[in-house]
Amino acid sequence: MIVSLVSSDGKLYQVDEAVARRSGVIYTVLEDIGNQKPIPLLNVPSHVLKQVIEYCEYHRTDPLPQDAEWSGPARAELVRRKAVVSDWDKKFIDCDQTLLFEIIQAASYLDIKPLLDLGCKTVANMMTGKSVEDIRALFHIENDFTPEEETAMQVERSEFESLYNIMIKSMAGGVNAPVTSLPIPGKARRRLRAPHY
Amino acid sequence: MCANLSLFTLPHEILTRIFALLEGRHIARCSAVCSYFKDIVGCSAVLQYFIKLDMFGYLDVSGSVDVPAISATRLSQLGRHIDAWNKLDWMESHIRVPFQYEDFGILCQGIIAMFNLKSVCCIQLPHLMRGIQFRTWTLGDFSFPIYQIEIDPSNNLLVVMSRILVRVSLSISSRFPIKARIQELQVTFFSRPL
Repeated sequence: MIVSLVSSDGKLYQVDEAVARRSGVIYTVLEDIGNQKPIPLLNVPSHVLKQVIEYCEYHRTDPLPQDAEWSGPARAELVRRKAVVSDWDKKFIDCDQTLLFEIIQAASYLDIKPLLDLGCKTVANMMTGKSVEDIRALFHIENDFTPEEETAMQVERSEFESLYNIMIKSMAGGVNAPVTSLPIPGKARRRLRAPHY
Repeated sequence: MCANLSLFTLPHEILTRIFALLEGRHIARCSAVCSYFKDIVGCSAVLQYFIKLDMFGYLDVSGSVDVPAISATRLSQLGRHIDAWNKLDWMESHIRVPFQYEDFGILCQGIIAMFNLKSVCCIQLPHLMRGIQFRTWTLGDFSFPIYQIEIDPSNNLLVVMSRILVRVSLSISSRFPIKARIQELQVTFFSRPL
């Protein structure tokens, strides 16, 4: 069976039903109305839809995700730990920022969870370890805080960070350990953050 | 979808999703980028929870332990937990169980194990924070008289010893998630003559 999809700028795409069904939205449409008319996707322009279809074509045989909702810390932990991103996925998502965000938005609109996870993880990786200024520069975001707000936040943040450093230090070698022993390599730090809540 | 789409224009729930993949420190840093991000981080219980976890050096185990993972609840629980530690505030509770075992055995990670010659009885003490309920269960009918037991949670082992034969069994209980299902090996050695 072939399903016809129409992008927001009116281009017609024909894909296998199995491929189209990877999208939760299209799945529901096919279940409810059946496959009679082309399905209009009002929020997805053709250059994004092309990419999304390419992704779904490649992943057509993957098992559909079972979890119904993204609910809280456990799910986020799960995605965080699933560090293995296949080479194909890496290549696929390696595009300019605008397209990346468009793909994320389309994945969210079409309800394709693995693609949404992949996109979010990519953006999260871009942000990890960056300073506030770096993040602003990377994503072209303007600083819209007043100077007073900024100072208040800086105080807050330095408190947080000193608290964190004290914690690491006291675990690493007692309070008398020299400050220069920081930073602790990633692996050791993970081990130090032992207490489970 | 506008032409100049940027991170800034992504909807609220997608940004929450992205931030939730970061570590607490980095989430806190993101909230200092602009007021939109600050709002997002400020009104999301999940993100607040992650920041707090990281700030106090905790790890969330709700993925591996069966607890209702509602972030607002977890956040307030964590707050109470930290408060309690700051004030050294302990809570006293009593549980009564029938005692038909010869030895107290051991207490290990919230589980008391008692044993007699034939069977081992385990009592799981309740844990409010982790949502663990009180329960008891019996590991029964060993074909040899039990002399001593040991729980080694880091290796997912329950070791049941008899006097002559040592039997090491990798035991399954739902408390210890385990990779291999059942593996048994028998090690025989000569015990000291009594």
